[in-house]
Amino acid sequence: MRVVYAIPCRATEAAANGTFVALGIETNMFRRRSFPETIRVPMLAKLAGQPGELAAQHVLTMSVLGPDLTPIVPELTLGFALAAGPNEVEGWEPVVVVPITAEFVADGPGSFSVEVAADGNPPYSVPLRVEQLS
Amino acid sequence: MTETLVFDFVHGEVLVADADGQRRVVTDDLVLTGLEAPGADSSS
Repeated sequence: MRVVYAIPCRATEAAANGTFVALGIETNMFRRRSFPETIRVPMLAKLAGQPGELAAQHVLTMSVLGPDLTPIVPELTLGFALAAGPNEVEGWEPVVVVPITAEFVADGPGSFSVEVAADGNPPYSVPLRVEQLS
Repeated sequence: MTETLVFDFVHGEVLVADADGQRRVVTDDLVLTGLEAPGADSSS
């Protein structure tokens, strides 16, 4: 499996028929009055794989990099499997769209990034900017 | 998937939040039900 995209939003909500409502697509700027402050980043992530991978166990990994591009907290992992859904089309690449929220503490303003990866493949990077609200 | 995966780096745990915001810690592998895409538009 691989992460096709992870779109930061202000909020997400599941709708009918396997779609989602996303408010504030590309919300990637966070202004706060004081630090440290918890930063909450709702995202829509799309995972894709080959049909032969569906029966396997997979691992979703997320990490947060700080302004110096090093992890600011230990990475978190989630083991998962996929079950076939009603909208799968034969011959298409199987995909699943998952609402994911990352929550971390920013000690101060700067550039951060949330890295989302599946099965050890190269991560999808979501750059974020945290600023001091004056 | 109608629930949200929450990667809580503040407390170092992965949770699942339902539509009402209730959270539970994920202790086992999760089954992501439904190959949700392509989403369907059934309007006429």
